[in-house]
Amino acid sequence: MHDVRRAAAPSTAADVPTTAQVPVMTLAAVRKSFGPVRALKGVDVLVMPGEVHAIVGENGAGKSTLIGIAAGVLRADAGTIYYDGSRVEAPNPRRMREAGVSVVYQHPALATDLTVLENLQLAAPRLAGAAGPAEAARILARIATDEMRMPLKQRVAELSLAQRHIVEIARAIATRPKVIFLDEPTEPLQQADVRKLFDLIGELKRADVGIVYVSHRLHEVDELADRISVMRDGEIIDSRLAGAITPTEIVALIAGRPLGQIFPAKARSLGEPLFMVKGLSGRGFDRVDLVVHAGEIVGLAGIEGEGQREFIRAAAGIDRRAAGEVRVGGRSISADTAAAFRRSGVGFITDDRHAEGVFLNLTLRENLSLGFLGAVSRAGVIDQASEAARAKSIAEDLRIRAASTESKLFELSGGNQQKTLLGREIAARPGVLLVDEPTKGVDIGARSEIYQRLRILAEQGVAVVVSSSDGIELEGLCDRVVIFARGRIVHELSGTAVTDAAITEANLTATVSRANDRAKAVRRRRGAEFLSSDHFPALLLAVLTAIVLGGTQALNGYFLSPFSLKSMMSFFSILAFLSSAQLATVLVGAIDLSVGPLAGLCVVLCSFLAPDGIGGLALAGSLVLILGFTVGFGCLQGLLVTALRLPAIVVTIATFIGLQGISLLLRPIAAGNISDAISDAAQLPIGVIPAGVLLTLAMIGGAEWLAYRTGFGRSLRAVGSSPLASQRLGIDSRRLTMIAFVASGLLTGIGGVLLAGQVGIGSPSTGTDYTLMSITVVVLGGASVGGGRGSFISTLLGAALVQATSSASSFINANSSVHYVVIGTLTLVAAIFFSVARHRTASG
Amino acid sequence: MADARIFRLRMPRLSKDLSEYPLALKSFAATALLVLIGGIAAPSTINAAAILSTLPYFAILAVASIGQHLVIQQRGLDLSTAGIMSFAAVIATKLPNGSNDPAVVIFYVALALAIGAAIGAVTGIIVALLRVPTLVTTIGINAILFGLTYFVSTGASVQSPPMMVSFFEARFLYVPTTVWVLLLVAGLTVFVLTRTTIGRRFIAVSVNPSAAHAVGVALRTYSIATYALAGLMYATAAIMLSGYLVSPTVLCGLPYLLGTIAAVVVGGNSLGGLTKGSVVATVIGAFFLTYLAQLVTALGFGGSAEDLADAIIVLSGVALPELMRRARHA
Repeated sequence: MHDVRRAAAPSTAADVPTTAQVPVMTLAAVRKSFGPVRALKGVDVLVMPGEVHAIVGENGAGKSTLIGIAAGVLRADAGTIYYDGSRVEAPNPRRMREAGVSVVYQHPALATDLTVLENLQLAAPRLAGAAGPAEAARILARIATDEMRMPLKQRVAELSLAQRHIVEIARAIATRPKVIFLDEPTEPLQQADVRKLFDLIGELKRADVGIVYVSHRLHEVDELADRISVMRDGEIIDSRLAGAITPTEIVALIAGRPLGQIFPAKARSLGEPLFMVKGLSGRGFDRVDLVVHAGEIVGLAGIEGEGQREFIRAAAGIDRRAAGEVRVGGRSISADTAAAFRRSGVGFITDDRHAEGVFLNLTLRENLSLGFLGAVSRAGVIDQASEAARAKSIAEDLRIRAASTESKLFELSGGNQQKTLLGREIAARPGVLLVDEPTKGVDIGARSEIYQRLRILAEQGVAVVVSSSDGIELEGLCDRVVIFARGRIVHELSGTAVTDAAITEANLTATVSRANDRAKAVRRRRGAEFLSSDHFPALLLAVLTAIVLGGTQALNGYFLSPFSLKSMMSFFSILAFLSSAQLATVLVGAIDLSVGPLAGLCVVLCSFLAPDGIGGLALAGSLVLILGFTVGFGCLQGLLVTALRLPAIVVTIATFIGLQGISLLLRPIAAGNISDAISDAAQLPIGVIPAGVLLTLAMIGGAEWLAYRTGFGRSLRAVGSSPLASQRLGIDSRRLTMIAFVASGLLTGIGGVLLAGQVGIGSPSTGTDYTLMSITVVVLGGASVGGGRGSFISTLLGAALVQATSSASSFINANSSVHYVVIGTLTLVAAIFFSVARHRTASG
Repeated sequence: MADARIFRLRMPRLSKDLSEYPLALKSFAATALLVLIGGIAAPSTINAAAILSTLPYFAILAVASIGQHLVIQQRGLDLSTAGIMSFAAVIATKLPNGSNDPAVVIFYVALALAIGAAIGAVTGIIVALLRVPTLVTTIGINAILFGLTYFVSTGASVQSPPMMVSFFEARFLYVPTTVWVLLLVAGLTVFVLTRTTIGRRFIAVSVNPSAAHAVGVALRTYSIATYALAGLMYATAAIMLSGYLVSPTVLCGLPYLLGTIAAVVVGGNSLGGLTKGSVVATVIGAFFLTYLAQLVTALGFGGSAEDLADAIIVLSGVALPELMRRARHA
C-alpha cells in the first residue's frame, strides 16, 4: 500500500519529510482536457496532514481545474486520487465532501435565495439539529471579524461579496474536513480579515488538517506555506519545501523565462495628455483623477475589491458613473452609454472573456467585424467582401491561430480568443484603450505577443490603461502604475520605481490603515428588509383579501351568504392545490403549464370512472386510478425534463395543448354526470371547517414543513436557486426536479378530483384557465419564477386573494371578460412589484 | 498553414455530421420526407388544389412564427401570441362596423397593426426595464388581451370587411396574396438579419448580451424593439387570418400559441439565443406543421387529434436533437 503511494508520488518525493508521515490525499498523474485545451498534463500533488501546501502559478495555469478534480466536480480524463490510504473510485462532490475534502472556491457559489444558516446546513446536515444555530454562529465567529458579522437568518443574496466569501469559508470548515483546498481565499478580504483567516489556517494546521493553498500572492505564500509547488501551462514544474526556494526563483519559475524576454521596451517619450478622468465616482470608487498621455501605458494596481476594476469599467462607459468627467483629447463625453464612449474613441477589453468579451458561437470574422462594422457598411448594409478581407488581414496581422476566419470562436484557444478581442478593439481605431486583466487565462507565448501589441499601439499614439492583479505584468509592461485602496488612488509609481516588490509594498501599506466601511453599505433600511422578507407577501395578501371580501360585501349583501361562501371555499381549495402543484416545480426552477389541462382531464376521467350512483368502494378505486394517472403523467414530464434535459416550459406547453386534445377526444361536448359523493365528502363539515378546506390546510402545512424544515426542502430550493452551488455540493438536481414534477402531478390530481366534484359534469375545457391562475397565485405569493424561492403559506393566501377577486368580479359583473383582465393585471402588478422591490434590496 | 492542420487533427470527422449543415437544409429535408410519406398515405393531400388551399394557412402561421422566432432568438418566449392575434383580429373586423369604405378599412387595419406593435413594446418595456421574466409578463398580457377581446367583441364573431376578404382570397401571378405577404416579411427579416449592421448587432445581443453591451449595443432598445416587431408580425398574421377566415372567432388566435413555438422548434432553432438560428428554417417549420395538420385531417382525425399531433411534434422536435447527440456520444 505504502509502495503504491510512493510510486504515485511526484519526482519530488525525496523532499517528503523523513518523519513517518503519510499523505492524507494524493493526486497522481491527473490529466484533463477541455476540447482542444489541455488544462492538466499529468499533475501530481501530495497533501500531508498538518501541512500547508501552496500552489502558485499564473492565471490559466490549471490551478482551478486541479481543485475541481480534487473536489469531485470535474472528472479527470486520466489519473488517480488516493485518499486516506485507498484509491477513490468514481469521485463525485458528495463522496469527496463526506470523505473529508472541503473546497473554498475563488468565486463562491452559494444558494443565494437561502439564508446563511441554510447554506451551511446544505454542506453539513448536522447543523440542522437544535444545536445547529449555536454551532454555526461559533464557526462564523472563527472566521468573520466584527465588521463582517452577519445574522444567520440573512439571505445570502443580501450579503456583500466579502461576506459571501466568509460564508464560503465557513461552509468549508463546517464539514470538519481532513483536507481543505483554498483557492485565492483572500481576494476580496481586508487586512484584518486576512489575519483572521491566517489564524484559522494555523488552527487547522495544528489539528492535522491537510491544507492546499492556491494563490498568486507571493507574500501570503511566503508567510503560510510549508511546501511550494509551481504550476505552469498545466504542469507542476517544481515542488519544494518552503525553505528551499526564494521568491525570486518562484517568479522566474512562474513566468517561465527571464522577464526581459517577455516584455517590450518601455516608452521613450510621451505625447500630450490624451485621456483625462476628473473626479470620477461610482459604486466602489470615489473622486478618482487620472491623466494618461498619448504613448503611455498606465497600470492600475490594488487588492481585489479596492475599486480599480469598477473604476476602469466606468471609465470605459461599461458601468454607469455617479459623477465626474471623462475627456478624450480635450472633449468631454457627456452621454452615459457604452456606445457614446466608443464613439469618442474609448476601447475596452473585459477581464471576463467568455461572459463579456467574445461571442463563442459566432465566427472569428463576425467577432472581429463588430469592431469595424461602420467602416465596411454603407447606409447600414454590410459589404461582405470587404468585411471578410478586413477580418482576414487582422487575423493574419495578430497571428490568430484558427483554421479560417469562418471558425467559430469556441474552437480557438484562450490566447487566440484574447487576441481576437484585442484585434476587434484595434480595428475600431481607439484613441484610448482600457484593458482589464490583459492576459488572464492566456498561455505564455500569446502573453508576450499581447504585450508587444499593446506597446506598438501606445507607440502609435494611443493612451493605454491596464488593470492587473499580477505585479510582474505591471512591472514589465507599464510606464507608470497607480495603486487603488478604498476606491481612491493612494500611491503612484513611475519609471524605474515600477517593480512588483514596490507594488506589493504599496498594496500592503495601503491596506493596513484601512477603515472598513463596506459592511455599512450592506445594512439596509428596515423598510426595504421587510419588503423582501417571506412574511411580507403573506401579510399583504391577507389584508388585500379582506379588503376585496369586505368591499364586495358592502356593495352586495348576498356576497358572503353561506351558500356563496361554501362554493367560494370549494374553489379556493381547488386553486390552492393547483397553485401548490405549480409552486413545487417553480421551486426547482422549472414550470408546469400543464396544471390546468391536467386538472381538466381529471374532470373528464371522473365523468367516466366516477359516474352518478357509483358505490363507495368503486369510487375509491376510481380515484386511486385517476391519481395514479396524474402521478404517472408527472413522472413522464419529469423524465422529459431531466433525462432528456428539455426546457420545462416547452415540454409543458406541448402537454398543455396535448392534454386539451385528449379531453376533447374523450368528451367532444360536456356530458356524463359525476357522482355527488366527491363534493359531499369535500363539504362534509369537520367542526366548522369543510373537510376539503381542512385537507388543503393540512397539505399546505405539510408542504411548507417539507420545504423549510427538512434537508430535502433545503436541497430542493438550492437546486432552484443556484444550479452551480448544488452541483458543487453534489446535490442530485435531476432527482429533485423529477420529484417536483411527480409532486405536481399528485397535487394536480387531487385538485382535479375536487374540481370534478364542483363541476359535476364531464366538461372538456373547465380546467384550462387554472394554468394562468396558478401562475398568478405563485407570483402573488412572492415566489421567484427563476426558482429557489417561494412559500406554500403565501401561496395559500395568494389563492385566497385570486379566488376572492374572481368570485367578486363575477358577483358584481357577470361578464367573464372582466375576470381575465383582473387576473392578468394582478399577475403583472405583482410581478413588477416584487421585481422592483428585490432589485432595490439587492443593490443596497 | 501548419495551424490549419492542427485544427483538422483536433476536430474529429464525426462532428462534421448533421449538426454542421445549415438548419434550413435539415428542416427542408424533414419536410420533404413528411410530404413523401403523406403523399403515399393520403395522395389527396399533394394535388395542386390541396396544396394551394393550405398555402394561406401556412403563410399566416409562418408570419406569426417569424415574430416568435425573433423573441426566442432574444432569449425570450412569447406566450401572448394568441392574445395579440385575437385582439388585432377583433380591432380590424369589429370596429369598422360593417363598413367597406377603403379609407375606414385601411384605417382599422393600420390601427390593429399599431396596437399589435404597441402591446409588444409594453411587453418589452416590462421585460427589459422592470426585469420581470418574459414568461410571467406574456402570460399576464395574454390574459388581459383575452379579456379585452371578449369585451370589444361582446363574444360574437363578426364578418370581416368584404374588401379584406377579397384581398386575401385573391391570387397574384398564381400565388395567393397571403404568400406574397409572407415573402415580403420573411425576405425583409432575412435581409436585415444577415446583411445589415442592425442585424449583426441583433445577433450579437442574442448570442451574448453582456459582450454586446461592451461593444456599445443598446441592449434595452434591441429588446423592446424585438417584442414590438413580434407584436407587429402577430397583428399582420391576424389581419391575414381575418381576411381568409371571413368571420374570425374571438378565439381565432389560440392555435398560434403552440403553433408558432412549434414552427421555431421544428425548424431546429435552439431556445434561449446562444446560436444564430435561421428564419428560413422557421418558415419551413411552419410549412411542415401546416401540411401535417392537413394530413391528420385527411387521414380522418378531427381537430382535437391535431392538438395531440402538435404536442407530440413539439416534444419530438426538441427531444430528437438531444437523443441524436447522445447516440453519437454513446
